[in-house]
Amino acid sequence: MSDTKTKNTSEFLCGARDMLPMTVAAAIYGMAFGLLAIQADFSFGQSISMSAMIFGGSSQLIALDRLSIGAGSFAAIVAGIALNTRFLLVTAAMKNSLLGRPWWQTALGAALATDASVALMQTSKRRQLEHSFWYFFGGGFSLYIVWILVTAIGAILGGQIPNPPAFGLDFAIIAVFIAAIPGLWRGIMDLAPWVVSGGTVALIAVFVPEYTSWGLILGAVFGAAFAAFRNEH
Amino acid sequence: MLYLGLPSQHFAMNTEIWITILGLAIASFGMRLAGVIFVSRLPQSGPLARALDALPGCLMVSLVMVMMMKGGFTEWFVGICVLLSAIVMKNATVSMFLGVGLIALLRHVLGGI
Repeated sequence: MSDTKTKNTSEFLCGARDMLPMTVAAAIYGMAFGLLAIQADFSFGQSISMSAMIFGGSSQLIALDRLSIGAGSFAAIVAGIALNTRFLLVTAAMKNSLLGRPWWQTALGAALATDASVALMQTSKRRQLEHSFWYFFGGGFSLYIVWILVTAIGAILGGQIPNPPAFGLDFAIIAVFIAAIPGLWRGIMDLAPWVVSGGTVALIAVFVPEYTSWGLILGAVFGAAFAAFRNEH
Repeated sequence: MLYLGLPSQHFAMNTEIWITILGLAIASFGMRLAGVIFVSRLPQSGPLARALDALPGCLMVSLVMVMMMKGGFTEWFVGICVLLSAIVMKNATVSMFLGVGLIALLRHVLGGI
């Protein structure tokens, strides 16, 4: 019994540690959100609540943007949903660690699922912890706590944060996701589906740029569908 | 009337913010749950299982592409450096700091900022 507890704790800590690069990158992003929220006339409580209840940076920013141009709650929610539809794919991709669990673990694990959880899969594979709930819970939980903290810091510091692009800080989140890609490579069989995914996004971004956020979903779905239905010999 | 007008306008904005937060929170959690429920009903083999196994990589590639499509030459150059560094060193933290440092340097040299 205590053996299981020790194992769970060590997997939890391991997940939190492997999440660190994503946590650092998200911290910069979250601080920027806190800062922008205060500038958009959100109260401190509203800024924190948004980070705590939605836990999806890009959707928080776009909803904030919609509200600040006076588009109204409905438009803000719809714009946020367009970006967060991918969470459906994120938790589907996390099936190994979320399924066959007590319901509260499945719900909690799903609530903490983000793009960073998918990035965490590369290290989970290497550590053979793909099926560990506690590993992903450790990663998600540590990211969640930091996400709320940095929102608060951004909101408090307000305009005192220097221009992030000048220091390359806006690139941290992109870099960390790029760095996660090689670990997700399963072999040459991934090449064609990945080209389909990347190509779909590129075509949408070039020809119908206003739908780029839907491009993410379409790219992922088309790539996975290609993997499913190609001829296998 | 003026005295009553100002606070009520503030109240409306305030309500709007809370409605947005709650609405998007419920929708986001709903989609996170829907993914798990959806996947729990799928067969464990066959085409759909193959799609699911391919999904993490396809999702990450799409996400990176969405972000990179907004970038210019500098971002693409540094992005490729980060990818190569991650392949060689297998270390996300080092690769991230390399990317941040390199892009800051290039932006200053090329005068983008």
